[in-house]
Amino acid sequence: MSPKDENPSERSQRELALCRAELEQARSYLQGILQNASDLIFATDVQGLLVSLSKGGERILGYKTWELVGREFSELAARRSDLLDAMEEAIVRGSASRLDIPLKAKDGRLVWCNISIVVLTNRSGQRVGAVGICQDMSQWKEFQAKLRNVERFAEMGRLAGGIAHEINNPLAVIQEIVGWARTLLRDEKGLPESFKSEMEKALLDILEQTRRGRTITHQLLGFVRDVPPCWERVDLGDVVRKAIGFLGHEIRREGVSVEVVEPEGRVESISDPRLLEQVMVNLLSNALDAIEEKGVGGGRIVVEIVRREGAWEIRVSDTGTGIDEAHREHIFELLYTTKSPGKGTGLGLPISKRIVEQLGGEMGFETEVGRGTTFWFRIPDRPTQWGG
Amino acid sequence: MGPKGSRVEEVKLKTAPRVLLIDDEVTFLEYLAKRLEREGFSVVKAESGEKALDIASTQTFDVAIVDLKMPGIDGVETQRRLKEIQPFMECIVLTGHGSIQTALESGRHRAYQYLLKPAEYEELVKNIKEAHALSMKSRQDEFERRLQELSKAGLGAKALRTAVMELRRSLGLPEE
Repeated sequence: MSPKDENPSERSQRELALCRAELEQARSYLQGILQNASDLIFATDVQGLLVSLSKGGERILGYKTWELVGREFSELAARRSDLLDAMEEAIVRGSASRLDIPLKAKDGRLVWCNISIVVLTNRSGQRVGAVGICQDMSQWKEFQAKLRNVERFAEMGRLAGGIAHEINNPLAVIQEIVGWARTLLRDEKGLPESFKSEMEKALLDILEQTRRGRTITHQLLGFVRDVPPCWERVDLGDVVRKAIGFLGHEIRREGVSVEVVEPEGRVESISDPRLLEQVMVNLLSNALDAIEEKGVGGGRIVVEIVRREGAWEIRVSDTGTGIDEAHREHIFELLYTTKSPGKGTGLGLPISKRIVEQLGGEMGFETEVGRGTTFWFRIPDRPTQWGG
Repeated sequence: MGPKGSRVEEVKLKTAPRVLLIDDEVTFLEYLAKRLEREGFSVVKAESGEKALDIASTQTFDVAIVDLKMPGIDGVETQRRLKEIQPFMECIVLTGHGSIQTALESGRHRAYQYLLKPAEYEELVKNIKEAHALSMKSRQDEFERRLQELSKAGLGAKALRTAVMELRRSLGLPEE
């Protein structure tokens, strides 16, 4: 039967079927776009009930489409009014956009989105529903927060540096006054010995507290100041021995044995001895603190200098407490400390790490709770372009 | 009896370090000066750069201890001008305001040492002694160089003696 032969009703039937097919095609095409888009796209009916959610939406919010279909679309937002307002505006103007609207994911997480809502109308201008396109801004937000953190941190550093400077002056005055008082006390004849020693102890305790203040201010300044390395030939064995000598008093007080294991021959590098010493002193005093904290008496620190990956590696191992799993990832963070007040400043390790990196090297640690910790750092034989 | 004993000794040798102490923190000046005097040093206090320059124009010093941040002329400038007046004077910078820029700046004016407040007293004393020794050595070297020139001038014994004494005095060396 050719088309010419068909009667009018048959013809309209056929055209209708064709239109349906086309409509079906267009609809599935649109559905395809809506459902497969990697952005969060949702569609609602005229009452604002959800009819579809894109794959991207499922991924971002953690819902399956079927869980949401038929629910009020404004429930997607952490504050329903955010979306209801936008929809009201869209109904009046045809479309509306909102920045930084928190949507609520299935697990309660907030997802910050920029949202556009477009009202859908049919040919006679009647509203049939709406489509919302949401752009996930979480990563951008996170990035911004990080950036703000960095800025705040730099500002904090400047502020702390200024305060440290100001505090150094009164600390110095107190130290001189105590020193003078000790001199007077020492040279005074005819005072009872018990009084003298009691007084001397009190003065030493004051001195100890000024030292404590000084440790904080000097470390802070060390962190704030970007001291460029002074490159020179360094005997690493010397650096290690000097640092041990520097802490001699504490080492003896804790009754800790310290052993240095170094290779035969010269262990040299072009580096900055003062900065390296600072790192060594920090690592050694941490080792001492870890041993003291364990509180079983004695204890051992081994400092090894070994050749590794074309660089010298210095390893400081202690028989202390070890580092709890929970603290490990924070150990190099500024102002993070697990020590008691007055002991830890949360500056030693971050400063040490920064110094080592400045010298073109790297720093890390191995630890076992209850058995001890090894902090190691590696420095190149000469300044690398990066570190120099 | 360390400090007292050494004071007697140093005074006898007439080589006790002559220290000019410059700091706007008056209490600090007072106590540090007292301690250094007990150490056997001769100490003059100045609470500003201007005062220090005034004093240094009439009195010889081996070592100046300079604070960096002071009202009026600051530590770096004070140090520079002191060196102009008394080239044999060594400067130790002692400051709570440590910054690498100022440290480099004072280094450019040949600071003998740069110490951050509060410094260990023993370390400060050690540095003063070393700076003093260096100062005396420079004076002595200069004395010997000039002495050779003098001996070529063909002066009579008495005139030579006067000239030598005058030279020692001008170089800030003890006359005996």
